[in-house]
Amino acid sequence: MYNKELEEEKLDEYVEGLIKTDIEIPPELEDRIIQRIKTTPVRNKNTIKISVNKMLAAAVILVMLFTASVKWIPSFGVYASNIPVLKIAVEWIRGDSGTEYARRHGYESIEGIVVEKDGYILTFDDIIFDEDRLVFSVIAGGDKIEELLEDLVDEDERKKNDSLPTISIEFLDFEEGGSSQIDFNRKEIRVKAEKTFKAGEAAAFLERNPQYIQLSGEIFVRFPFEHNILIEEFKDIKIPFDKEKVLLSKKYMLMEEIEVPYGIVKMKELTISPTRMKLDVGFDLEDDYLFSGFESLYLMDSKGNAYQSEGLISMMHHGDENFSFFFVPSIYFEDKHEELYVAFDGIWIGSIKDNSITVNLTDTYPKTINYMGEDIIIEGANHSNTNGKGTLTVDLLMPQNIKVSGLKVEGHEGSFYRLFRDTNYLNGKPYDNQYGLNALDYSEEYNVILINAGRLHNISKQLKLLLK
Amino acid sequence: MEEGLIIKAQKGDKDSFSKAVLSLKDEAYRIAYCYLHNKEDSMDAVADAVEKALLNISKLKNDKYFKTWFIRIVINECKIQLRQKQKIISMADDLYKYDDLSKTNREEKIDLERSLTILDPSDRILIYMKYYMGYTLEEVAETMNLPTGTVKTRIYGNLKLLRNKLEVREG
Repeated sequence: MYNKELEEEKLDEYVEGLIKTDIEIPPELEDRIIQRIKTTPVRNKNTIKISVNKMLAAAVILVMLFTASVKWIPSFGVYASNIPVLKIAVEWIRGDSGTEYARRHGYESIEGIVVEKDGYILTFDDIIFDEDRLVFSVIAGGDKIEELLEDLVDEDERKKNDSLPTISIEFLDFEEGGSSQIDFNRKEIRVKAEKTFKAGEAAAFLERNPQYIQLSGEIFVRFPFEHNILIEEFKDIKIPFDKEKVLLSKKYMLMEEIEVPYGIVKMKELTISPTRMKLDVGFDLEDDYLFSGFESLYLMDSKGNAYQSEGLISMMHHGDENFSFFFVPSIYFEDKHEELYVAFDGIWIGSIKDNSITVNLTDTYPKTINYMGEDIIIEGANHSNTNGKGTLTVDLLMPQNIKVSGLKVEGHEGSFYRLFRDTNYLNGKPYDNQYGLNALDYSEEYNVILINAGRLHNISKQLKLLLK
Repeated sequence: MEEGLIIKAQKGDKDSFSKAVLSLKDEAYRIAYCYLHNKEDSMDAVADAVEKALLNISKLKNDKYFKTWFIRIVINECKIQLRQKQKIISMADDLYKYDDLSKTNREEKIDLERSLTILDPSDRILIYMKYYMGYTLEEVAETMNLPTGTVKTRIYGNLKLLRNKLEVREG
């Protein structure tokens, strides 16, 4: 009679009798691990980029922070490592290279103000205004803020729970819209805010001969899944404004086009403002295809100086076919340039018909799906209850030439937030992304929409822009 | 592992994190090597797993499961590498020291290792963890996120096949 346990014991003895040695550990392993730990940046949890509710833009704002690398453009005859990138170190709350460069050329910031109410203090500073944007910092401080933050932030300056203390600003002179970056510690909440103006918006404001920039502000604590708690409200904040100090932008109409896969990119207008340059671009692509980004887009002048995107906003979307891209610092304060060059190393193009995937929780994972001829692996999908609300998490493994900015579930208001992104995306390997979506009822199947998805076409292009 | 190390690591203390992962480096490397059978790839997989663990350590809910959690990350990195490279795993010549082995045993050992290499890495790792690294069946199951019964069936099922192969060769 077959005895399974006896059989297994005999197999154990058989194998144990054979094994004598072990896998040798390379002596260099320890160093490699230590180096990797040293070079891995651990993100400060308290510094996040979010769009504050009251500052959501009317147009879709896509925040893309380009890396500092500049690629080689053979026709310029200059090696990439030799291309100087004008980047000025500036504390994040004060702005970016563009605002700092303008200040160094004597473009005056608007004088800041302090407002106080019931022991809560708001300090507005580093205010700079041109026809392109309004940038400033706001700091909430004072005894009452410290009391609030002691309840929310521990001694190691980490959040005690999922709440987020923040400041919201509403512009009373301009349309709703803007973005911000928030940081806080046990003493204060710090916000860098930016309002990018639509065409003509700043000019219309200046025509009214304003004496002030008018704002309202709120200090509140945001809780996930629950209502926000208002701490203090500030109405009628007035920042003294002198219209005579504003330098007006210079605009250049462009008529150049570049061929790309599935269509044409049209360079329409270049606006040069004191703090930033803006390039308006149109896309004429075949039906079913849409633009979703450039790879390493920059401007270059005839001396070989490169200008890149930096800061809260790098790209704005004005509709189906028109985009604006921003570059710093500005050439506004330099001797007149006859020409600039625009260059990129690739273009991301998305497919309208491939834009959604079906996630079925009863499926066996991993599962491969196709996006524009490339494999995306759904490594897993899970629905769980947290604090009484359902959370759907989806794990995607994507090749380097596919990107997705986010996910949505059809019929649900919220967007997925990225829980995790594998750092392999930085070094050319397929990379894991984990997305989570809260407050979602359980369903066996979801139609998940890929936001701003695209496939990379590696084409290097450069184009001369004549500034007349 | 020193008490409180993981809690400190979760608060951003890189030194504590370093100590925690270095205490597991040998085990992590052996598991990676079992999958990848290549020294450089295995070191890469471990380093990638260390980076991923450092970036995600705050998500670990219970510090006592750090070892299981970290080894799972190592295994995932190995799977990613395998998917990328679709390598045919070949036996590394520098894997073993033969000092204490008789010639007969050495030939059997080589045969066993060659036999193991023809297994799917996900089956091979189970055998390595049990017989090379001293994991109990329950520990193998916990780390691999499999039922214990499944682990047992796969280990002994494969060993029976491999033993039959070796016996045929010897015969």
